[in-house]
Amino acid sequence: MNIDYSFIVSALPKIAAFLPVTLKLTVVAFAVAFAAGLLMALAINRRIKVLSPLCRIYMSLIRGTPMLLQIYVIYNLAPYAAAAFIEKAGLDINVYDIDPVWYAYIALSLTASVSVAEAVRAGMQSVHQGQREAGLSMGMSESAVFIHILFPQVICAAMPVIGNIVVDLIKATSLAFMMSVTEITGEAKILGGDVLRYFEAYLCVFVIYIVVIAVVEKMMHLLENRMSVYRRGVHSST
Amino acid sequence: MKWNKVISTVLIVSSLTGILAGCGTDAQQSASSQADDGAAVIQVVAPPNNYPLAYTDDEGNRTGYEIEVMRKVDELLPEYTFVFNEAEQDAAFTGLSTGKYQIAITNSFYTEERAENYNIPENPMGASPCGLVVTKDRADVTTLDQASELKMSPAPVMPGDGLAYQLEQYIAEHPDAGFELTYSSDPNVFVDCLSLVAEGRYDFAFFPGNYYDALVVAEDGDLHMLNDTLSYKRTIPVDTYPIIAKGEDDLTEKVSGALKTLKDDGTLEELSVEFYGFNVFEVLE
Amino acid sequence: MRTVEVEKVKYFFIESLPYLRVTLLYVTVSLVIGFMIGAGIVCLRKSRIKILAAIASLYVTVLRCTPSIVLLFLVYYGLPAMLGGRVGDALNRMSPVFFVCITFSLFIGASSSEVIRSAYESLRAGQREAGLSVGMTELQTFWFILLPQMVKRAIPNIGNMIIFLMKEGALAYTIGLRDVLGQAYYLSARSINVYAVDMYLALTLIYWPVSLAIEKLFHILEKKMDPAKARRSLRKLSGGVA
Repeated sequence: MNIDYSFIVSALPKIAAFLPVTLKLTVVAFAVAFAAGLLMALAINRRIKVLSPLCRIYMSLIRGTPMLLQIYVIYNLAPYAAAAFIEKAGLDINVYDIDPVWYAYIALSLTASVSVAEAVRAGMQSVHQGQREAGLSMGMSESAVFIHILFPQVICAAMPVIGNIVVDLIKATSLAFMMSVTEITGEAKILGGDVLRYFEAYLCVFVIYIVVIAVVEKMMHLLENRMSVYRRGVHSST
Repeated sequence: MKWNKVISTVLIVSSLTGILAGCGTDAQQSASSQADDGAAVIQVVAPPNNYPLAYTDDEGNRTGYEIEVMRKVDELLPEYTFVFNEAEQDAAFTGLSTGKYQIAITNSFYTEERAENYNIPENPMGASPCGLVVTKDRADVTTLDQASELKMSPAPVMPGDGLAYQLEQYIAEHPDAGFELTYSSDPNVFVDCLSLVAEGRYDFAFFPGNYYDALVVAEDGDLHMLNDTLSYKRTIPVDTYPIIAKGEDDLTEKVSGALKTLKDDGTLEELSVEFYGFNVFEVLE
Repeated sequence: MRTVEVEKVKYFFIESLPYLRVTLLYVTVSLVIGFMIGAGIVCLRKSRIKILAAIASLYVTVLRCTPSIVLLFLVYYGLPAMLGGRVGDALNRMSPVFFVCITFSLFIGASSSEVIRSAYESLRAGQREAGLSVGMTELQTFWFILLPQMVKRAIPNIGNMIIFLMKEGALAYTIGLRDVLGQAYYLSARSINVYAVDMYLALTLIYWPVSLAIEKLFHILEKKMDPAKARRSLRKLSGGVA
């Protein structure tokens, strides 16, 4: 296998220059997924009518279909349908002017939102129900109990899984290139395609991933340590 | 994950690739093994679906313009036996540098950087015919110069693709070009670019003429509904070559000679008519 | 933009469905081998030899950071080139499905080791001692007491892994393997991807029911593996011992 090291050396900084795009995709998609996942977990946990079964269907559909398909629906079909709808409604908005990065945010957050919902649900099950009742009996409101007592413990319990979700999300951002958003893998494909040296270009991506994921895991670890104050409550029942 | 772990990971990866690199010369020789009749076996790789250049027909046979050209080349070279493999473009070229394959046929153009990395025969195997797609109200835009002047945006192209190459070449030659390229790894982009232009998401697309005729102009074309919205102007096609592994000089020379024979006796033109529906070489001249 | 044609969806569905066995083949093989690798890694990580433990944990870290396409290329192209000679030659003639299985096994090896480890750590240490104290051998304790509990804890994760692997066909397609997704892509390319919507719809009709069935199956399995059953088998065994 003849590896072109000079190509790696010259391509690495060019590819790394697209790191901000990858990070932006990760952060925004995660924020959306986290909010959506949390709401879904709540809806299912509280057995809210209509909403709860809807969330279940959504989760199973997203889990059951390849991401390529979801991207196609969001990037190609949804804008077309939206344009037809806007035309009928007589509005003067051009959906096609939307920056493709918005489609990427949505597409990437779909799978992540389902994973977050599952992680949070598992976290909720680990928190003792008696705590909610204890809070209510002390005169706290339902939302206050949730925000001050249950939520921190749930997140703390879900933290390791959430770390995994973020790592998976970083790797999944390469799919944004299918929606013409050039991030590190995209740039690697462009540079590799110029001289037909794809493998070397992918190795650059690999090296960048190692560093980024190392930093993210370190941050997650710190966060987990800081949150461990809440851990006592989680295990008090065992 | 601790920092020493990160460093050791990087070290392991680099030493692994080092080992792979060290074995390169060795593998390349061993890969060209012998067939039963004593002819050297040459592994040829093409993308699984690069219609009509390389694809599988309804009976499950591999065919296509580039595949058939290579079969004719094989017939002319008794000292070699070609075996056909399938892999996407990025995989194909990785295999070409590890010695798994000796020839890649991916509708590739000639560039100096590519010629430094691989052997490219002197004589081309075909030509990629394409042209400019715009909306009807911009039908007067027929050249890239005009598109550049009007600062029109091109629909996304696939990196490493022939269509992309022509636009990249234009931008390289015109540093003040009025447009920038957007890329996408979605294989559907090839045909979706027509819809993208029709919808107004992008201003123009680069597209092969024969497909445009079959899809949009023809009454029964699958995208005939776009015919009222779009307009097409054919531009000059560019030569395409098979890409051969570095070091296979003998093979490169012989393939090049065979391609010349096939061009001269009209075989390439015949195949072009069969797979493209017209003679690309005529357009080229 | 075209509208969906039922005929086309049916065509993609019928023509791609048989290739589900290719998908199931690589999923099953990768899962079985992957879990063996995973179990091996857990043993190494628990071992007292520090270097082995470090290598095992490094393996998990590296695999976590590796984009799947890099590993696939390393296995498919790098491995035969590295071994070279006759072995490399023989490997080069193997079918792509062989290399896809190796690649996915390596990935599952890393992720399953985490699953096995957390399942193992969740068991209370007293259980092993209790088993040994009633006269069971080390192997019997593991087989009848520890393993069933570990499997029960790991079951939801196994279901998730199967669904993840099933959807990874797009990667395998890069080196020319035709599974359900690959076959659908193949057919779609013949019509220059004009019928992408119909193709994707057909794929949904294949993937969704299968993953629903897998989810359901694993849900039932999880319920079936209740502790009462373990107790019964234990009673039978202790009766035999006595």
